[in-house]
Amino acid sequence: MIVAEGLRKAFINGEGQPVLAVDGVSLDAHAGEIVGLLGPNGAGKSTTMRMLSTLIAPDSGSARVAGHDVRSAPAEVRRSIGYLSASTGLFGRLTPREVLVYVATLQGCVDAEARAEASLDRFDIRKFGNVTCDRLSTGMKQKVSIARAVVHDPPVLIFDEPTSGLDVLVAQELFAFLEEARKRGRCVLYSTHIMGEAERLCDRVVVIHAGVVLASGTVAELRVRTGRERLEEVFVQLVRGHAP
Amino acid sequence: MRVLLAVLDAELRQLLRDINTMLFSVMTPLFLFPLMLFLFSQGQALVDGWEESLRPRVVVPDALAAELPDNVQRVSGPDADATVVLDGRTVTVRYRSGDPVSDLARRRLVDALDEPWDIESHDVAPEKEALASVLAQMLPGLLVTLAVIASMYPAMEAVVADRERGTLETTLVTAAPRWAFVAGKLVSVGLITLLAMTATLVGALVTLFHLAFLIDAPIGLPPARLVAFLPLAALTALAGASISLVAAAPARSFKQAQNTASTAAAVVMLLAVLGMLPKAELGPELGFIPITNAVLSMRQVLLGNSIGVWGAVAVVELLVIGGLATGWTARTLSREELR
Repeated sequence: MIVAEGLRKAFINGEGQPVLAVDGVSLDAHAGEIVGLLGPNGAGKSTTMRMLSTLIAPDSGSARVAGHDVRSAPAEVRRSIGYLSASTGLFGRLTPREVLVYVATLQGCVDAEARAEASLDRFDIRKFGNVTCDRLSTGMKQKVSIARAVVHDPPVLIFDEPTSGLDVLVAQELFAFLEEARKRGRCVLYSTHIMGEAERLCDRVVVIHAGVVLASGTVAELRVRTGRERLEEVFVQLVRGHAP
Repeated sequence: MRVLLAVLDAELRQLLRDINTMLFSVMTPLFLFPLMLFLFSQGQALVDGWEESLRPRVVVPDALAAELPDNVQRVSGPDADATVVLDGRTVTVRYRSGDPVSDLARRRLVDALDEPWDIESHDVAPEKEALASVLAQMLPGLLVTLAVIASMYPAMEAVVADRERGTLETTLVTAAPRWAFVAGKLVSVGLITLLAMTATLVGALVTLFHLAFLIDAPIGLPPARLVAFLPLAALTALAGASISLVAAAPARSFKQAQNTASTAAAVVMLLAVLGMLPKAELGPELGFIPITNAVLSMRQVLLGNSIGVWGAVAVVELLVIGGLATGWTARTLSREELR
């Protein structure tokens, strides 16, 4: 469902110098699988996910999502994904119901109202459905954000550190939702720097640091490879063994 | 088209639920003129005191000379403030509604001349002294000013606040075509501006009719002139909105947008005020200055005059400015890339 080959992306920093954020990242993720993108802050996780979501264009390399090329068919890619990041905002003066109908319409759903109503029930936000988003609690806003990301029931979910700022209860609901999505054959790319989340959720992990993929495989494979038991130790060993 | 309407619907809902937009786009335009009238009436006490000190000069036939009140002065020259004509039992007071001293003379004569005369008032004010003339001088400039102020917040909301809130990402990650997203924003700002223009007109006309009732003077504004005025007013307001948009579009923060948009608005307002000056005429001197020539053209339309070649220049300039500014804004938004 997701195949990326040699993705590269550089940005110009405040001093006018190019900074390589992602340097030849290759990865894949399949239907019915949760793949974790593990890395410290600034590792290139978000840039990689934004390239896969067509929010930014790669400088070089290629990627296909749900069979669509991110360069030549960005609209088809966007229709096929549910994208959520910590910086994805809600329309503060719209209600959750209006947000869901709006996004479902933008995603081309002809039954936008029905999908919005189903999402209100699925994420238990119906009783707040007519309250403007500005007046919701942080946890409730996150629920609406998750519902917004998947209201069109996409085959691919790209979640960029989605538990950032979430309380434990909402995070548990998110995990339950992702596990259910995996059972339903959805492909999930999930970035985090919290090892416990990766251990609990991910079928495979891709460790990324300084824009480069250091290792990928199941948690068990990485344990064997590094000779460490805890994923946190595995991660530290991989990162320390890499000279950026 | 369904997606465009969805974007437009969402943008309008957000804008109309924003207190700043409502304040600047609806409340201020709607209540500015009534507020001005209120202040005017509060100043009436001062005017009353000033009137007490006046003794208007009137031309009166001998048959009525004995009935003249003390607070008017009988004269025979052509520079009288009012003239009384006697025809049988009918007394006609000829006065100029745009001249407060002449109008004061009328009121004092009408109060003083009672039975057995039939009193009639006849306004002989030339066009430029009528109430409509005052409106023609004030309304276009104020309308442009209020339209620009009214469009500032919606423009910043539509193009900058989206970035700051992260809702731009929410929209751009959907399959909606970029043109629909850009067009939805531009049209919503345009509609809010037209709403502000309508509120300005409603406020101005209500005030005008109320004022005409208070001072018992004709308005002198045929509906046909108002209808002819509307397209030019709408075009000018939309050009003002496009200037707000193009000023706000490149800004990376709301604060930055406030600086650029308010600077652009100040320039537009300055040009509008230039067109409101009493001696300003639509001709070679001001005819090339955008916004100013549009304000002067609107004045001519309200006075029932042809706008001529300079009016055509104004229209072309508005179309060019509006087209370029809108195109540039659309280009900026279309190239939006998230980092």
